[in-house]
Amino acid sequence: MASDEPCYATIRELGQRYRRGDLSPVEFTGDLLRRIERLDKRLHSFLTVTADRAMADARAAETAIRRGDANPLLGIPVAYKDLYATRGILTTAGSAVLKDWVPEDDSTCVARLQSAGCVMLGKLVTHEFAFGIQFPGHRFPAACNPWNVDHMPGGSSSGSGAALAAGLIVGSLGSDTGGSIRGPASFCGIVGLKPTYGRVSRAGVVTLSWSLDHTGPMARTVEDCGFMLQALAGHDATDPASSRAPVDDYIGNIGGGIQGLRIGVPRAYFFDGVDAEVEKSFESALGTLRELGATVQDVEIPSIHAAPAFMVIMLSEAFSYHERDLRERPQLYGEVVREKLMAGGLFTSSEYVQAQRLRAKLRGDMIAALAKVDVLATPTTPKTAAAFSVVFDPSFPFARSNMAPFNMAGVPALALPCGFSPAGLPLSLQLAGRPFDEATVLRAGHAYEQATDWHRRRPPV
Amino acid sequence: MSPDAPELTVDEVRDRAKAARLSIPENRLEMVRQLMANALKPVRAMDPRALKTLEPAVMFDADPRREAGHGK
Repeated sequence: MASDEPCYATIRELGQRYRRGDLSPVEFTGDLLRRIERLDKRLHSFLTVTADRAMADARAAETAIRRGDANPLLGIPVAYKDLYATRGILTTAGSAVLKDWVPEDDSTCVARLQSAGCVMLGKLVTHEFAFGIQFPGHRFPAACNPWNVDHMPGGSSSGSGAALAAGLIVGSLGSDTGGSIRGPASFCGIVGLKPTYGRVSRAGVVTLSWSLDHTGPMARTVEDCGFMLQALAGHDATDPASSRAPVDDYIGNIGGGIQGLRIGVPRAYFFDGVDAEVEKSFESALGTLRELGATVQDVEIPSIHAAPAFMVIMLSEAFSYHERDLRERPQLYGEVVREKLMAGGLFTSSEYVQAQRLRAKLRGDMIAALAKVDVLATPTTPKTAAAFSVVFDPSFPFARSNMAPFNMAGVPALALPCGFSPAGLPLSLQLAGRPFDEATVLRAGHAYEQATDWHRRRPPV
Repeated sequence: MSPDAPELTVDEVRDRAKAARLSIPENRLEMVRQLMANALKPVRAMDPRALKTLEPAVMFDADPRREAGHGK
């Protein structure tokens, strides 16, 4: 079934329309630029719109398509989280510290998508240094959730989630240290994939936490994430954590179904404090997966309650990265973000090392669970998107995260829509897999997506 | 530390900030305390003597065939 409006078309649909000649990348890019101009005044998802660059990219893509180039990403309009370095284009990481930074090189991910023929529409709002939300008075406003602009879109890839949900772009890049791809995917009703640690390069992406940072695609469908991952994955000598593991075909068997797939549900930890509407939609999603031929069983991850140690690691590493600026020009950091980053300087070296040891245990237990099943399933977030009026309270705590355990373990995890709350806010299913087995995670997600229509719902923008 | 180890206090946060020469406003100390206390709960509950062979995971083995469940 084709998408309802061109601005919500999938990568596959756009490729077919471009090659049939009933839509051109130039025409479509112009349409999206006008849509951004019309809608983004309210959504604040873009920091920089690169209209001239976009039209130049679109013309180049059109020429390549006419030449017969079959690359599926040719002419696909995307925008990048402002954490990704873009050559000659302002890259601020959402901060005043980098407010004038114009990189000399593209980050590896941007370079790979651009060389695959993507059209760059611009740079998207991120929480400050991928960490702290923009409080009122910040140098630019926070992005809003297209499903309800009084609610946050999640973060830190907030602009990516909002722009995708609003049909302003077709694909985006997010970064995910503790859920920053999957959280906005969950709250905005779109799809986000945190690949295996080392699968997609971090080179040229502003660091939050070296050992927890992941980069990956965000889109409106699982298959679109697969198309993007295909272009992004693979060794990069400029990222010391980059893997040489072979890259799978993520699209070839994505429609292969899930007959006999074993799905494990870790009941402990992941359901603490989960809202009833979230749990109901999750159980319903499990029912759909069973109907599609999967078997579902509960699994144990004995050390899962060590997951909050994530914050010791993340804050310690973030403080190491920011220490000089925090000490020498703290006024350039947003209030609250500054103090939270400083907290990372208050842990002892022993506490950091013990947290990393707990992480090794958690990872070992998760790998052991994944030896018994093919994927793990959990709700992506325990609650729906919070209202700004709630999160703008400085004492608003970091919610217990269902996503950070998979950053701790470094395994791939996918977030995709699985329903809506009575208030009309999106709900999300998280599927995690074995290291470097993104293909199975995508296949499971695609099967669920094809059996449901949550991804076809559109926000009232 | 034992599972019933005392939670981090505001005074301890203040002392740690002083030792680290970091200036955290008084009205943010409780926020920082909460953030740190939640993060340290499993660390303080851990008995490192019971996990002597467990090495810290900083990075993972990039070769899935060599997965052993532990960090390098």
